[in-house]
Amino acid sequence: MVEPDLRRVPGPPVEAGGAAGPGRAAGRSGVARPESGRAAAASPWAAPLSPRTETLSPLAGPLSPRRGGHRPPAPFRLRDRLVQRWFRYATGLVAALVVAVTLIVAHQLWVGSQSTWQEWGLSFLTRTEWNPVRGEFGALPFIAGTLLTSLMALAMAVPVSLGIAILLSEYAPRFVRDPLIFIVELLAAIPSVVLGLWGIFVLAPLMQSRILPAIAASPLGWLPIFGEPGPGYNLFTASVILAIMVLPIIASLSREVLLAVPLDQKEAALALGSTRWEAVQHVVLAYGRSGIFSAAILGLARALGETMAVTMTIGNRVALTFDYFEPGYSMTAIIANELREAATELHVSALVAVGLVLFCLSFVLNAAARLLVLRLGR
Amino acid sequence: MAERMTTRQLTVRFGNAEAVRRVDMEIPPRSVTAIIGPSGCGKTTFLRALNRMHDFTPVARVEGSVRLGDREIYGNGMNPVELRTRVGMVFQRPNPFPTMSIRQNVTYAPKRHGLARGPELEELVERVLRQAALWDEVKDRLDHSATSLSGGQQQRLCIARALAVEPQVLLMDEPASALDPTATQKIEDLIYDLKQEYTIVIVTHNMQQAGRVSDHTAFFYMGHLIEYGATDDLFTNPRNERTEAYITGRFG
Repeated sequence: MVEPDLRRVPGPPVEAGGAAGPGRAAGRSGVARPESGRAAAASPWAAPLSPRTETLSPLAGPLSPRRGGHRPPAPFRLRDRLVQRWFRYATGLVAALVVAVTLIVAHQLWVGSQSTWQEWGLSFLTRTEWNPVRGEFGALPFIAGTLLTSLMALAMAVPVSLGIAILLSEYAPRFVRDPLIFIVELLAAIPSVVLGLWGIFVLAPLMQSRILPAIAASPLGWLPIFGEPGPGYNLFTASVILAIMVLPIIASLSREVLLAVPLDQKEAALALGSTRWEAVQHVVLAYGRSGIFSAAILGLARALGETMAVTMTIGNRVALTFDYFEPGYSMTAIIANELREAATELHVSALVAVGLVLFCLSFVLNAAARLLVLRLGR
Repeated sequence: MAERMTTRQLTVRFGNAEAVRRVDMEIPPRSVTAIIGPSGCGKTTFLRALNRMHDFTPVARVEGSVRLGDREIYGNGMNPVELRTRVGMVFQRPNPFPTMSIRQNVTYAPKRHGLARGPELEELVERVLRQAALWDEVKDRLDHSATSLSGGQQQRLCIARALAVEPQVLLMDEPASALDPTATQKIEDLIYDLKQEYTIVIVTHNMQQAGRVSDHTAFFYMGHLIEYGATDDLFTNPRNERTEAYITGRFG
């Protein structure tokens, strides 16, 4: 916006006037220039287009000798212009940095995993063997472990979070709401390694002795995803830990979404003879559905990337399994566990390749979710 | 079908503030009753007391009596959910349900209350949309989103939605204040037609509007019902000096 004006001043007169902006040129012409009375009398937009406006620069000169009076006074112009330009560059730089870091990470992952792709190509994604000693690597057990635990965590956390969000935004009186919000936020602040410890010392033994047998005995035990109850370290235990970790994210975001639903929507439903619950169910949740969906996706992204708590509870056994009661492995866990001890170049590259797959998976899931939110939100 | 509403010593408090004070008012059936008064005079609060919308405001307390026909609406015998199907409400800003189609907006409440199904429901959609003078404009796009309508159309859809539960009384809280003059004109014509079948109470800021559409007008000031009477009398021959001051534009 600024540079073009600089060049325009010595240029054709019409442009000099054009740069002034119609309102200002017309306003000043009425006061300071007798000969432009015609232009001023016409529509203000006509003035800068009139050939006579070439006289504008010399006449207005005293106000700002360097560049014509149709510009603001110098102090404003110079300092603000510099600050503004600097600010624009700074924000642009920061934004570019984010993009650059993402691209650099992707590039490094790609370069670092070349040996793996050369060895197996895309079949790396579907191979189930992982044996560093024999130099056999395949990512499927880890992909499955990550997806299974994350989705189960989401399946458990979303209903609970929504319940909390509805309670907090619609029903809870103040003396319940404020402490509950505090506790939910506190839950988000627990370091994942602490949750992992709790998983090892409390949840896993409890799973083994009580919870898994109870689920197996209940009607849920008939689901094909639940097999024979076994040791306490398994996909299910890891899912529960993940659910606890994503719950505060989804709950607090959903609460914001529900609070943002306009009051008149709720009142419209109530005034039609809906009960409070019907109004929440049919109107408030419907209105907030895309927001709730994004909250769930953010929770999923958190679950996909979680490392410590999962590594501590998932069982760390390389095996492709769809039985939640069996130990498994996740992409994050295998990288955390083996990268330091990886002896061969192929082993390292396989681990980096797993990282690249995780990167792409998060990317694809996020992009898909964003598209869905756009469609839901219309 | 239309019912009379009567209030006796109706008082509404928000915490310690009295918004409506000991109002005695009789709202006759099959007529339009306008409520006018300066901002903050308790018009809307009074209106919302007539279908128990204050139930959802924890600090609100309602005292006194409101009757629909001869039933006490704040009594034990009245279920507030049922009450709101008998006393419908149209709000200041058009608020159709944006996630639903035009048809779904109308059928939402009757479906919930089991009033109609199948072909009956289709007839009901056409009937209430005709009543709301919207049918000709939307009959070819009933399944489009309600948000595809203009503001005035949306407000008429909201009126149709309220009519779909076959209420006896229709409460309108400044139904045209967010609309342009043409849309306002349509809403006013509609109110005029609807009074054949319903008891209509309309809150309005606009005295010309009150004069045009209503049979009776009530003037509220500081929570009190100052004057209530036939619209023509009240505007041409106000008995209270504050009414006169307000309608002649000296305050408010």
